Amino acid sequence: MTDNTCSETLAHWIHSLQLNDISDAARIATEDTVTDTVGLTIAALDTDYGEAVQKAFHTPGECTVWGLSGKIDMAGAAIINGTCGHGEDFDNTFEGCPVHSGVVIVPAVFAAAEAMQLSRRDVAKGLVVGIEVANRLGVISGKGIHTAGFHPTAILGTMGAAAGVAAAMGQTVQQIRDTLGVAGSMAAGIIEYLADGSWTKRMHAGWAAQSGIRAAQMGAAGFRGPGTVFEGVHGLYAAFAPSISPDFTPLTEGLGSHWESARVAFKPYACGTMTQPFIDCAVRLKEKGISPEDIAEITCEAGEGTVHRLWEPLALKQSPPTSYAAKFSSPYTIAAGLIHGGAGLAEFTDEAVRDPRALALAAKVTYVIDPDNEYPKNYTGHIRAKLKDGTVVEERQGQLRGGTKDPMTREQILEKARANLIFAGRAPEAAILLRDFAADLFTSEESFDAGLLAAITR
Amino acid sequence: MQKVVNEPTVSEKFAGFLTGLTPDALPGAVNSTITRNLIDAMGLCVAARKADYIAQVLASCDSTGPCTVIGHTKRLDAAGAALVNGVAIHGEDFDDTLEGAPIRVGAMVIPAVLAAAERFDLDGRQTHLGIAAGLEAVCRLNHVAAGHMHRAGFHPVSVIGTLGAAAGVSVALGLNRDQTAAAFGIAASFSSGIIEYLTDGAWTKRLHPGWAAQSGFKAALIAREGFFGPRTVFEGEHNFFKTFAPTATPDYSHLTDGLGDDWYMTRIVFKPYACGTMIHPYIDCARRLAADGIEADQIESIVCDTGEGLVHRLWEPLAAKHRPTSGYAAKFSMPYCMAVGFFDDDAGLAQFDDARVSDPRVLGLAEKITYRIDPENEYPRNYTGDLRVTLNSGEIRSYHQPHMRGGQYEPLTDAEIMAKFRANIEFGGMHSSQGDALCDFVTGLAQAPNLKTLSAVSTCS
Repeated sequence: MTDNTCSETLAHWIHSLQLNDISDAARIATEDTVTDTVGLTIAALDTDYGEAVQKAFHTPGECTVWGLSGKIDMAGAAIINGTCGHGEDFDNTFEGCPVHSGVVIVPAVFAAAEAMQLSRRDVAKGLVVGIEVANRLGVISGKGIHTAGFHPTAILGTMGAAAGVAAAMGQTVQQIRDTLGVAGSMAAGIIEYLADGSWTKRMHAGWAAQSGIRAAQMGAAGFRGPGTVFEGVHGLYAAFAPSISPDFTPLTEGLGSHWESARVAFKPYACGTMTQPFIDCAVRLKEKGISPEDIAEITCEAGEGTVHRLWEPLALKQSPPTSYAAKFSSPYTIAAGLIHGGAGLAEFTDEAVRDPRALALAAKVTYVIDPDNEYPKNYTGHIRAKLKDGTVVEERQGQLRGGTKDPMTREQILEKARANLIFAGRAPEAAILLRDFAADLFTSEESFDAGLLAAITR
Repeated sequence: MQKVVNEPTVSEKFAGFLTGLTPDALPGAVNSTITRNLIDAMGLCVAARKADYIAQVLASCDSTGPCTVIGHTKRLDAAGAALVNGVAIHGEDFDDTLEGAPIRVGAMVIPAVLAAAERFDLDGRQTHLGIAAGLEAVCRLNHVAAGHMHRAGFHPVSVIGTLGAAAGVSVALGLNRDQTAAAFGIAASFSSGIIEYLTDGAWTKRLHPGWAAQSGFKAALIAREGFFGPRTVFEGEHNFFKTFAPTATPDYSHLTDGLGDDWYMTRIVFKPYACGTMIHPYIDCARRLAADGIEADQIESIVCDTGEGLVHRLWEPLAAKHRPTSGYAAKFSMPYCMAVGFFDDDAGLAQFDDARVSDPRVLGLAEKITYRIDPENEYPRNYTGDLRVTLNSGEIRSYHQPHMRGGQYEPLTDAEIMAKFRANIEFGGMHSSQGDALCDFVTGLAQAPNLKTLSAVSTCS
């Protein structure tokens, strides 16, 4: 095996992988990813960007846009599901390299499975392989892809989606190798959306999903892709992460024994990552029975590196101009947590961010820089609330919840899906259906049927 | 975190020019370039119709629709037809190129616009305008950071081509300035294509123009619905040129100056031979050597003066170039192309058949051909050919071709374009009378009420 290229090593592993060989942790993370991703997609169908992609792609076909009853073609379904799933930046991510695997892999594998009439077990294998490959590629790249101006979810997502669909299709080793080689020529996505908040970031997940399927179809048909797509002189990393000297052992070693797919992180709140531990503290204040009107002032110890994005200019952060800006305001997100006991999609509507009660509380929230704060090595939260009766209450959160150090429980992920479905005007019980649907993929011998997802309509 | 840009951005200005085009604004040279490019592209599609890679791409497309795959009966959705036709045009490396800043042009634009026209039932006028806009967009965009995308490991055909296809489809569909600018912003997020195919001759190079065509088509559709693409796609902090050509200092004057006066697309050139462009002048020399009555066994050695920039792609590793392993690899071998040109007095598709490249006589002559780097060689400004032939008798003969035929110094005549078209039609097994019908369709396209006859004239019976 030593002479194999990286893609050949991966191809051999993917080809030989049996469902029984997948660790429980990887299986559970994958099931939860399905529940989380589908709930988020349905929640974003009625947004402006969600409607734009639905209008652009409406060719009838065999595939489901989750939460809608009409069927459209494979590429269109993958694009719409992926774009909506990633639209609010509330979907799963990965510590070390922010590759959002769920919103690429799940739309790709589901659409392929519907169009190609694959079995549920094929789908389960495809999902695990896709997430595993995307995350392993993320371990190699670190910040390298962002540094070059490219979007890791877009670039690595394409490779993961291709691997996942190839696995689900039961491709031969040669076909998988070619699929990955072809996918390298389809990987795309620049980060110029940062300049004006344009919507291309959202679209990247869906585009990567459809590209991954198309690459797998070409690999299956025998179209030859470069064998050295990852490590070649002009390979994926040379092109998209030129600042790093990639070490490919995280891609090729420990396959089948070490599972990066088990390490996906879920976001408890629908906002910027670094504000989340502060919201945990705010939620605990609410659980102690403290109401916003009891509070005289709140002071938070914060890491210096987070100030310019989440705290300053303070007046603006205390009264965010848009719902999107509110996602990156510590005062607003803390106020939302204390008032609502959470910060889900409902707390980031245009109406919610204008709520006088929330804004009145946000105006009482300030910060002091803690020179000993661990940021960026660790994300922590702190609140010191001085009540009107003179009592001082303090809360601390030692790390980001949802990550590997403090994962969300399965019940919490289910609760998140439930809240997202309610936000979308769907029945909350559909969250249970989603969870059971995901678990069923790993156990049932039946063919894949997304009818249940299409039935989650208003 | 977000800068508000009130002035029109580069993409908005460029889109303003493209969306303002009318048939009256197109000079004769532009119209004739479009027609010549269409004829050449159609012939190449027919020629590639039986190729293994076309069968595979076709097999991978499972969405049927109203759009024509040139030379095939199967009809596909617009994305599928754009993909297959784009692969077919470029598949044998026999399609157009751009002098001054080499890139393929028609292979990305023409399939995208034709597919859009069939899908949305556009007329010939819109189709023609769309092709004009797309070709000009590719040519101008490729000058902004010429050469630097390859250096970063990206293939301009796919990276630039995605934007060109988006521009062509946007104009054909009648999108307004801001929608078309958004299409550029969206297309830049679809731009892909790494050059790792150089390592093992993988077929992804062939895939790139077709993928660009279908991606650009979809970018235009998304933009039409009001999807918000980055306005500063060409000049922002993480712009298109910075990411795909990080070593370049972009020259934006190519997107702003002389619009409507200086038509870059009129510098598109058509290839007389089905192989790497820079090899062409050397083949001309080898054919002249044969025409002088020299036999292969009279030749002791041939030494070619060559530009240093050509060596790594077309001369080295020399042993591999002397014995190419496939017809496709042979297209990028200087020794093989000269040798086969010497014997066959041509270097068309038939000369790059997998069987032809194992002919011992051709390989025997190829083995005698080596190179010497000439520091004075004009490459990449001009492509020349220089042979110094030593005969067994000791006699030395020199041949020089001062430029590429087909290029600006000696464009292919309309008759030569037609001869190439007819040869390609025959190679693909299409009857010549049907080739004539296809040609008539193309020459009448700008005036056609719709493209409903395209499918009939381009399907082989």
